[in-house]
Amino acid sequence: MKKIFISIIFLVAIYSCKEKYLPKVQSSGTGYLVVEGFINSGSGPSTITLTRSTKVYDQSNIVYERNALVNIEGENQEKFSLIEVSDGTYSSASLNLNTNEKYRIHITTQDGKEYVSDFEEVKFTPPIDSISWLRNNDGITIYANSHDQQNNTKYYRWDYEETWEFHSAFMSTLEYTFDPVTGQPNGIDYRNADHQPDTTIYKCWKTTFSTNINIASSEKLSSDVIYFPLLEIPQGDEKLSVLYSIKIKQYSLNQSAYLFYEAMKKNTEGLGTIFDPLPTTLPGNIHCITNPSEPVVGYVNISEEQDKRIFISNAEVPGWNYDSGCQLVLIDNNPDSIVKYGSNLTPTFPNEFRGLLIINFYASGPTCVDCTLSGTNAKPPFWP
Amino acid sequence: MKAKKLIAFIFLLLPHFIFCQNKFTLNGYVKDSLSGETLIGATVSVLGQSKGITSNQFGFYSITLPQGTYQFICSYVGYVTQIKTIELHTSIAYNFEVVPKITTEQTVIVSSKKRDANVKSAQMGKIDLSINEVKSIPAFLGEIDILKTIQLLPGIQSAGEGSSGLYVRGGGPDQNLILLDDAVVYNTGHLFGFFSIFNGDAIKSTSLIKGGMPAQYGGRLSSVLDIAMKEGNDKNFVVQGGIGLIASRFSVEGPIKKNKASFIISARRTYVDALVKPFIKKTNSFYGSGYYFYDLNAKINYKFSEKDRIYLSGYFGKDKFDFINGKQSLKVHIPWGNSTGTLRYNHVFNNRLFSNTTIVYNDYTFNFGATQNNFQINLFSGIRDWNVKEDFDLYPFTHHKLKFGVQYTYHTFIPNVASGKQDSVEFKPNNAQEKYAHEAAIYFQDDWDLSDKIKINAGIRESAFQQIGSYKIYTTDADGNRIDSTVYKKGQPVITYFGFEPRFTFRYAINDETSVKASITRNFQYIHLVSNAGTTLPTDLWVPSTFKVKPQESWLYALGLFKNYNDNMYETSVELYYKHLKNQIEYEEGYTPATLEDTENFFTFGKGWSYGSELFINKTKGKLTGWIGYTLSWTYRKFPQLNFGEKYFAKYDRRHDLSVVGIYELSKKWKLSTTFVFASGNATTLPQRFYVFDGVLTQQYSRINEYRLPAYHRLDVGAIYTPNKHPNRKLKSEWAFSIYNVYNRKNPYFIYFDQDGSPYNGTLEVQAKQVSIFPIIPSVTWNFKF
Repeated sequence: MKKIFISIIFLVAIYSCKEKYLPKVQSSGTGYLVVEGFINSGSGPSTITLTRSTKVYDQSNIVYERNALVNIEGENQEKFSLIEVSDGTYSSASLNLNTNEKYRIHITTQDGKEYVSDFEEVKFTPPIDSISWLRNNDGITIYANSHDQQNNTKYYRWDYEETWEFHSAFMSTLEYTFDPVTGQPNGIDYRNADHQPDTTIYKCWKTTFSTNINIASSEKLSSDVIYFPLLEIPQGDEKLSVLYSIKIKQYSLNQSAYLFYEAMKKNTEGLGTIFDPLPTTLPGNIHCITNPSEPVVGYVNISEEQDKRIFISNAEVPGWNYDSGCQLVLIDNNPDSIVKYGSNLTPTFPNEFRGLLIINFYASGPTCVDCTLSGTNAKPPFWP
Repeated sequence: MKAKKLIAFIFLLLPHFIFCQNKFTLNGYVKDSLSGETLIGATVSVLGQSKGITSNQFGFYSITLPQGTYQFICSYVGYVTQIKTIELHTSIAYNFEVVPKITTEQTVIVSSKKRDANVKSAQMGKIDLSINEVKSIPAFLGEIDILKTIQLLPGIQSAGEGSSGLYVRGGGPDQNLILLDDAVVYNTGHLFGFFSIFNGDAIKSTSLIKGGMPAQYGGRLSSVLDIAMKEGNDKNFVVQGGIGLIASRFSVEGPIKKNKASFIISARRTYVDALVKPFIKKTNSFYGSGYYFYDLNAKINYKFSEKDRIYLSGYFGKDKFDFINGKQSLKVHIPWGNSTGTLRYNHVFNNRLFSNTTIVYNDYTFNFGATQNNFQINLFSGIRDWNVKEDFDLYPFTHHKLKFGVQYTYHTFIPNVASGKQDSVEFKPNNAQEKYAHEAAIYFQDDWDLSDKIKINAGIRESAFQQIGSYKIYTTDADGNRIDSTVYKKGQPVITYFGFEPRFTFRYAINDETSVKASITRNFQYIHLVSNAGTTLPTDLWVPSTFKVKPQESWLYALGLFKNYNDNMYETSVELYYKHLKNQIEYEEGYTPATLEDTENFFTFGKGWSYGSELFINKTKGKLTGWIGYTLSWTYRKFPQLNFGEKYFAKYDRRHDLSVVGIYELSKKWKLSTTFVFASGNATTLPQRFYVFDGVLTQQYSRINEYRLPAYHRLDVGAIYTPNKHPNRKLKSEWAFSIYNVYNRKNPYFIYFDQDGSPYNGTLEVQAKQVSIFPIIPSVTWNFKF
């Protein structure tokens, strides 16, 4: 109800007058340290990513915090070190931590500042019971299902990784030949000597990672059972045009970590207008011990990672009606027509012949013909 | 009733004691000679003496003097001062019928106050506005607006661009008691607050008290805005109205029985929806969407005798918003509005005791209905009051004027009640946390002329508030989990709060033109409006004090110097104030109104304080009239649960607030006016930094209200053109022109951050954007009267 009001006012406001504005915001030289990741108590590496917050007007890349010393420390003086595997990303070996012990992260940055998280208990993560999905008018919704018979988990977080196979709209047997002087296409030729299409640019895969905070709690339920709608795929989306797969990673959280993620989620969703709720302060568990007043963003939680993967094929969603929006254009096979009509296109296959000579041929947008322009043609190892 | 009889009996006897001193009483009403409307706050004084009295809310006055012959002066804003010689050797009833200046001089000399009343009375921080004055000022889109005029006075701030909300001396928008003929008005704005609900054609007078609140008022911390509706001309029929750009007004008033009974009906409606309709094709998927609001004011009164009079008045106003999206077969219907009804009975027991009995019903409802395909949902919220009051005005001795009375209100609070329907299946979840309460108060107040120099206005108000069931109190463990509950049945008392509210103001007259005043007042507020956004919306709910929510409390200390110059042509004042607020309410950090759980479980409590000074220079006579009001103030809030427990600037904190109003009588035909406002930027919370967390670009916010929006300033101009009246025709008409925001200042409404691109490949662009809503807006309105 309030949302509708807000959208109306917002609409009025947007149509009224908008202009660039430079608020005089003070922010110190280096940004706050942002710590992402968790300590994986089970098998598998623990990965921590260190970045810096950037000024409102620094329109640039992520600022990674490089060359830091990152260690996981146990209350019993155990120590495991993490190695920088890529810019700002630090990874450990498989730890298999003692579940009766408490652990924390200890970071020493390049500038000599030390940061520690609170000692936290190791939290068991129940396995994902199943990943289910439901078809509706708007597409499909994918759910993560889990439960904990001991009623101990209560707070859950998920990340996911989606991979899908997709095909170029058109197979291509032809490619342009180019004028060595002008660099303009001046004719066509077969890609393969046997006049067969180039299969390496027909079948591809795309992988994306979740970019939102997915958390749920069974706190208010009588039993610790979770049935969480994780994501929706709109009707007709490319993801389900051939075969789709999702791998869900489940983590358990303690209550304070849950509150941190909840606050983080609210802050990322707010637009910052006067109609939005006030921003929330983030109750993280990491502190700078060199300068206790320096804010640090992040919550390092200790739990296992549980994962599960499912596949959904196009045959399971009848009437999906994926439309690539690709169209064929008929082009006469002479340099003038090719330059005029076909220079931004990729040729597909011949149409009319006079003898062996191609009189005209079809062409389409490059991404409609070459799937490697938007994905990879390397088949993922887990693909059936 | 027994108690009432006893009180009446005591005061019936009182005059007998006084008569022993050979004193006599002159009493009666002050009225407009043309329309018969009683005049509120007119002064009846004795020539050559400082003795004087002002007429009460019903135009009644009473003055007691030793035997003798006196020249009584009756004066009122915009009326010719009348002098009447009366020989007082017995008690006499006399009604002053004063003549409006407009009929004698063709030009109204508008002055906001009685002659030198600002210096002479003990009351502080009170401003009376005549409706003429409101009409002279340039109006936004041609809609004259009492609340927006009030915002131009020192110590009063607008709640935002175009808003009719008020922030008074650092208090929130819910801390103003807004009365329309004694009925509490809970929502004062139409169209998200851009227009106030008060239709100028139906309003007789307005008085605002921002400090030194008299004991007869209570239940709010910051101010009282007492608006009286016209009674209706009891001599002739009058039709008046106006046609404006967005709305039209029409009203009829006249006698039902000459000098005995009269009525007024006044209506206003916007027609943006009707104008837009022809331009939306039937095939458009939004066909049928629209918005309008209307107001209807009606009042009748009947005079049984000089001693008994009855008034019945009502206000009905609604905003209706319909949104239809044919593509998604979605229909949304949102009506909201106030209704009030007031029945009042005046009785003059004798020439020194006046009583008024009031019964009021008022409600504010907000409905939300949506239909999509065969699914239907309905949400309903509101507040409903029944109120009974008994007030007495007693004029026992020359130097005293007493007011006392009792008040009782029964409140019903209805937060979001949801119900739904799919095909024939109905669901009515029992999720309503309806709340009920009794609120009562008793007060006594004396206006006492201690000497020619010293005047005191002292009062005591004792208020009480009782929350009654149904209600559930939960006991929780250390983690906040509910382990047990106590259930209160319907009508069963849950908790009772009492408030002792002393009110005291003091005036010392240094000379005839100069006085010093001081006041101390304590107020309690038992019902609250809590908003989780940076602005108020009609969806915000009024909530009562409960077991969990303690009443708000305030102490206000004020000191002022008042001086008039040039035979009261210039009135000036400087007031200093300090206000302390206890039990202020905000939502907890990060609260989003998504759950069905009782909202009071998400409240957090803290305190606030505000101090400042207000300067007011008012030119009341001459061709050029108007004022300059300037406020320098600081307003803080401190909540243990917010902003790390540190103090922060309230969103109403405004360092400088300047208003300049000028009205110039150019000729008999043209009247020009202008207003200029300047206000320091609103306090706001801004993101200071950005970072990426879990793949999401996230904002790192500053402390609460650490930053300021750019300053707000605006110039409006207006002109009223009155063509020569045709001598044979009754019709009088005028054209009102206005230009809002003349130099097209882009005032900030809010700031948001637009983000584009991805931080992973260096294409990220973050840009703060300032949104302003009202550019330069000209308007024209045609008003008529016959």
